[in-house]
Amino acid sequence: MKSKIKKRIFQGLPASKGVIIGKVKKFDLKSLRIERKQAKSKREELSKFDKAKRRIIKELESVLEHFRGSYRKIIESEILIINDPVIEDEVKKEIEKGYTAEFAFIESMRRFLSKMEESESTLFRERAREINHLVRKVLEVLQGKPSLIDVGEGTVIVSDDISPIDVFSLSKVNDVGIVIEYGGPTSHSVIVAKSLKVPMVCAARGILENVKDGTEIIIDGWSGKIIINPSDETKKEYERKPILYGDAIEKIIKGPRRGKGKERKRVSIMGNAAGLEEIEEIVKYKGFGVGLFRTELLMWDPAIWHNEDTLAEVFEKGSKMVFPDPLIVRLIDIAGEPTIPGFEEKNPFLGLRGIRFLLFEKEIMKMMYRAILKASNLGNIRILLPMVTTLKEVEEAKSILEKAKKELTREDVPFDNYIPVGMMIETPASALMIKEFTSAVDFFSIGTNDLTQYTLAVDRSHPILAPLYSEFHPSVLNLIHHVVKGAHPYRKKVAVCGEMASDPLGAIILMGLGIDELSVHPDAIKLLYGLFQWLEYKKVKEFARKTLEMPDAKTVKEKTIEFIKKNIPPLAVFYE
Amino acid sequence: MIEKKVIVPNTLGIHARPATQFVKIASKYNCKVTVIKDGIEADGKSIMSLLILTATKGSKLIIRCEGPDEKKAIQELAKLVEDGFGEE
Repeated sequence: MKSKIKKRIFQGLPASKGVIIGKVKKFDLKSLRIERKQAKSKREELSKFDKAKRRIIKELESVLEHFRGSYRKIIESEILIINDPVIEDEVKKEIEKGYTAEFAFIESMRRFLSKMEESESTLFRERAREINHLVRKVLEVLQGKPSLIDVGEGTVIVSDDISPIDVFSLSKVNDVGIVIEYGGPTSHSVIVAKSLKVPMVCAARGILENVKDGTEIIIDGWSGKIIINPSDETKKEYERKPILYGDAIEKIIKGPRRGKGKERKRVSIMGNAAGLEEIEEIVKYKGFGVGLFRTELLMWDPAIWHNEDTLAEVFEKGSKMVFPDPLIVRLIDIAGEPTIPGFEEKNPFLGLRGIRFLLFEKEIMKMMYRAILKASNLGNIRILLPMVTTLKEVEEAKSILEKAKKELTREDVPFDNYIPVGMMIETPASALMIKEFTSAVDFFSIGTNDLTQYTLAVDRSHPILAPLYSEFHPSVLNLIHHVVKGAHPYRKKVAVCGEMASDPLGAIILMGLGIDELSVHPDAIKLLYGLFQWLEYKKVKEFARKTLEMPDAKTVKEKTIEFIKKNIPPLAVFYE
Repeated sequence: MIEKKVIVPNTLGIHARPATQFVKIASKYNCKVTVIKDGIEADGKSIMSLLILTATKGSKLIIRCEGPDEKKAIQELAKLVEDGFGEE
């Protein structure tokens, strides 16, 4: 019997960009053991509690001045919780019974939090979770534990959850990163991590039990990937990422403008976004609009998600920001991600996801359509349908769109009646049947991550099989090429919005295979602009065709690196 | 002692931000402030007590003030709730 195999790759949600290669330091609320213990002196416990309270309030107040708006209000509410007179009375009563301050405090808070956790409203349950941060903070201070501020450079905090104030403390140390098991990309800690440029990945379920203090770990805030005990080769790959996506890349890669005239293939470089902040960055880096606006993360904010008009407002703002360039909004794609509380499947990737989920929950689909249509009056918004496998799904999806349009017409709400509708190609089924779809949709967008996983039948976080997962596998490349060949005669454009497009190797092959638009995370836009200055389309095309005949992913990668070394000298150094 | 009935009008109910506003105002006054939902009483100066009422949109509440400045207090607090805490 082999020893238990530990999971080494985790896919979380990217929360705050940047890569950290470092050592794990675990902070786990469950690890704080509070024993039901009698205290030596009541007076001592009371004064201990009082001191801890004052220290935390002081800390919160010092953070307060750095923030405005809604985040400021959150800190204000935390101060009120620490200062809560009812909690204080409860704590005093427990201490009077002879218990320690820690036990008294956790007992008192538990009574309240358990009631909030039972609430039917997600918002209250979420809040209970966030108050738990605060409970932990108080307990840490009461137990005299070293605070997060004491961690050294090159540390990756792995925790079930983290409070905004702890993120703030961490930002004072260089080269630290954060991974949490819970939390959404719009939770308050993430907002703070983003604004203070601390790389962070959230929703990495089950990671705590797979790492120890001191374990070597890589976290990638661009892709949400986490790698435990990485090989030297993987480390090298991730070490170059911050350079490739950093601001200095423009100077490094500056090259001659090649491929003018006939030989030049125009590839539009677009950006992926999950919120308005990213759209701002896409505009800053002069991307050609938003190639993929992910709507999953908007769900984390119930204030947006439960209100069609608020949702429309987000889309409208985005549309104005990129105008006249396009904003491509993808309808929500739920894929076994922890996006819907209480919704779990045994094999979610083969289950009710993508367009299947939307056709099952037609009201959600119609609500999204209505919000998108309401925002569409500038004429630059397009709709993207997630994970389609059959033509019938597209037809049903379009008939619901017609319903939404009729409703709005009746309500006298103006919208873009000719709003383009495209579909994601994420399965071999839709890639192979591309011609069938050309008359039904206006454009295609290939999601390389899912296409790879479905083609190779490999879960990319599988502890043993992960190395088999590669977008560079010739089977995947052949499917991509098949899509381009099928769509172009009908003048339908093909985009790629997966991680592959953000990688120099991937971008080169995709350009050569005839992809029209590459949609990448905002930081990769300047890299691609630089990269394409060096390339002659004829050469790239010739090279990409050759990859289709190669035997495996390894050969494709090696040959592409050779191609880079020969054609883009400034990038050669990254692949030594 | 005076009481006033109010209905929570905002979509998200009395979550953290509204509760913060409520406690801040209630704490300005000397009178005792109680918020009652379905017979459960909460101290209006305690944010945790207010939160565990889990008052969502449409919840019927009674605000009760007892003390020298009760009139002013109840006026300001009832207005805060009725205006939906400045939210939708």
